[in-house]
Amino acid sequence: MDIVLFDRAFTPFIIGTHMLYTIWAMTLPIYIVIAEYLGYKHNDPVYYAIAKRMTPVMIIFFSVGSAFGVMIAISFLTLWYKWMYLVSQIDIMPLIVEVFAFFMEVIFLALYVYGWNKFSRTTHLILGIAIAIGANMSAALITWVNSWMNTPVGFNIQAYLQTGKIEDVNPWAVFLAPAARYEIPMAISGAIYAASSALMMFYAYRMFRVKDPLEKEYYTKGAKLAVYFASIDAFLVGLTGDYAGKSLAVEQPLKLAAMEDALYSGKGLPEVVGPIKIPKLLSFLATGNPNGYVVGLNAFPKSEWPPVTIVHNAFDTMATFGIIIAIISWLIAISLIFKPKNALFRILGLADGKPFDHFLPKAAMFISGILGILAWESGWVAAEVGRQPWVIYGVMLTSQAANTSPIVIPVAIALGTVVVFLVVYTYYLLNKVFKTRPIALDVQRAAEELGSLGTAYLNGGSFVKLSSSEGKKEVKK
Amino acid sequence: MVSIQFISFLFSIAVLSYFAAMFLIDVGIAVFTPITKEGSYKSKMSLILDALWAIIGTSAVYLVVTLESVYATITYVAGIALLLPFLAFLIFLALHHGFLGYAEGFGFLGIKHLEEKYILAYSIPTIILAFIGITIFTSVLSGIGINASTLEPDYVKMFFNPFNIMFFIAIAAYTIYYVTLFFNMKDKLMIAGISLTVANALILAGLYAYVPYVFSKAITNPGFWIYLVVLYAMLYSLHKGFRFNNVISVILTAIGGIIMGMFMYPYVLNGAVNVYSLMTNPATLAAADIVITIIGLFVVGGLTAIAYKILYKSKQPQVTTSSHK
Repeated sequence: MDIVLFDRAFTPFIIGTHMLYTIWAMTLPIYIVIAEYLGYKHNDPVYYAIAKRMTPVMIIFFSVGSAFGVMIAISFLTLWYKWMYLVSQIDIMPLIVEVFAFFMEVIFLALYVYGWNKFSRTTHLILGIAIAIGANMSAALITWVNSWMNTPVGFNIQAYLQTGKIEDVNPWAVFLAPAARYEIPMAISGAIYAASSALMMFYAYRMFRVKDPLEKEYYTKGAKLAVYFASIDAFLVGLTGDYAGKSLAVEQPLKLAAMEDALYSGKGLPEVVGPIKIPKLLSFLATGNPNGYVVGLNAFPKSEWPPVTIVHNAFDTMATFGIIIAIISWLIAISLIFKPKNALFRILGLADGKPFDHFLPKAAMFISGILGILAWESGWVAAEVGRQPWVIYGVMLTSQAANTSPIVIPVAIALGTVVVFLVVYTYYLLNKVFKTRPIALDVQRAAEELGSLGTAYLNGGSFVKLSSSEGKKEVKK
Repeated sequence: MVSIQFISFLFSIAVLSYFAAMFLIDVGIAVFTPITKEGSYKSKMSLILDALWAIIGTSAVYLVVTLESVYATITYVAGIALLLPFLAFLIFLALHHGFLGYAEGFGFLGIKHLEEKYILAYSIPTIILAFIGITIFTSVLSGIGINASTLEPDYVKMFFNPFNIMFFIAIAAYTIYYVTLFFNMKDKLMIAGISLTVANALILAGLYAYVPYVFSKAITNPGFWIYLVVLYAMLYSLHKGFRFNNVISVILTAIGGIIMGMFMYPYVLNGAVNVYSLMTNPATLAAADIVITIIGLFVVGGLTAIAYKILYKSKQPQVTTSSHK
């Protein structure tokens, strides 16, 4: 087997798997904190229970995800050590600062998990926000390293290419890598988008099955939050995506040409998605001007082209699926907020502000989750394959960086098996536990905790709203 | 004047020693949990583990990134000579993190039997992890199993050589002493004393036989003997029930790591390679040192202490409540 090819397949496998966990690390703290806040604000034990039930999910995803994070760090060190050597010499600062963010995430996660009812409500919410900041900072800093690989700075590239010596190093300059400006916002908004759509899928799946009114209320409220998340983030993804496209046109024109499969350079180029061709749209999207000039693949030697078919299809998958999710989440959000009654919304099952009572919106939400994950992974494939054949653009070829030791194959296969085991087992365990743990139990506990602070109490399966003093009396009983 | 390279070396040794001190608590708990009876130190160990394991895991990343930033050339050592141990390390690290995460998640949900099941399961990969970690350290220290000029590895020799086995047993013995002190196990005073003696004897014998330059530096240095006396004096402190034994044991373990590093200085691979020849360019070193220091001061010191203290204290009532039930 070609060991370089094996390295190139194995590393994306680990990173691609890790990415399925990072989206949760970045999104769940925000989601949980908002649910907790709504629980406090409306004295609503259902929102409070959502926050509490999602907390162990966050812990387990964090622990397995962080194991994959260490795996990536060490697989870079071992499988790509020649690349890592350059990173260590020039681009190490974002990685070091990332450790700080990682520590922040871990410590505040621990404080948040063990701090329920130990800290004041406000402090507990702030701890949750701190987890989100740590997780998203961590993601931003890792993306910073990747940005440097796309647009390397901070050393004398010409001298390195001529002599192989690393000269004139400015380790702080990597924070000014041009690609960071558009990669980081895109990565963060994209991750939250993927997780939000996956949450929509989860709640839709559950809502198809539940009959109990309390469980229905639980999943409906969870789904509402997920839909609002996705619909708001859709705007951010659109804005950051547009900015990334325009920046790519200037800073990484070859990658953009591969993504768009634009063979020839020119003005007023059309956007082609499958059989659809929209005149001048590519020029407009890339430059802001319908007659703008866009550089095509033919402007570069063919030896430097990335695998255009893979990059183009991955890009189209990301863009198309992203747009579909936006439409679905916006329509459901409009239904929830404005409660439209017109015929179109009635046909779509979106009338009267009750989308979750109808099959079509729930099916669309379920599909959104699958599309969101595919869009997330496809976007990353388009960005990474789009840089090939370079691992550091214009500086080091991927084939030069790979470890070609034969020992890599058996050990990496063993490692891969453990990864698959952990992924499958984690989802199996979570599913098993939540299936056997009644929501009513968690809502009752939530009601008791909130009741002890004031107003709501669950009595025989239905909620009784009480005054603060009555709530305290019930809890004492 | 002290060079930036020496400062960077000190930082790398300090971070390595901090990690070792934290990780050995993890290993010690993994050894003790299956053999400790319910109701004695088990709940206390569970509390510490829940509070600290994620921080210990993060410290591993801190260590890897610090080493990469200080010794850029170490990437070649890792990629050529230590490829197998590092990849094997990852396999067991994944299981360690996974099982602990499951245990903590189920603990949070109050599903006690599943929490206990995964705590038991976690101890196996943790002990194997310790063995692999020690193998990496002893190979870099002694050069056994690594060809110093080509970096070509001999994995059988690397894992199964007397020095590595001696060192592993010594660390296991030291862990018994360390955990006994950390958890104030007065009833295990004798075992702790014997374990400490076994650990010291094995480490000194191993260094004498396989890394003689480190051995010579150690026994001619008064600081080393003072350190040994302090370790034994801590047994008296344990006997007396001094309340800061846990904190002091962590500090002493970290100092032990730093002392070992200073005796190795400035070589690795049994004197064949000078660490300065492995170092990153001075500009990156200077920048990295600043951030490593900031992390060290604010996170490693302050936040670890805060997290441990607050978590430990905040979880105490929960245990009391559950035991009443």
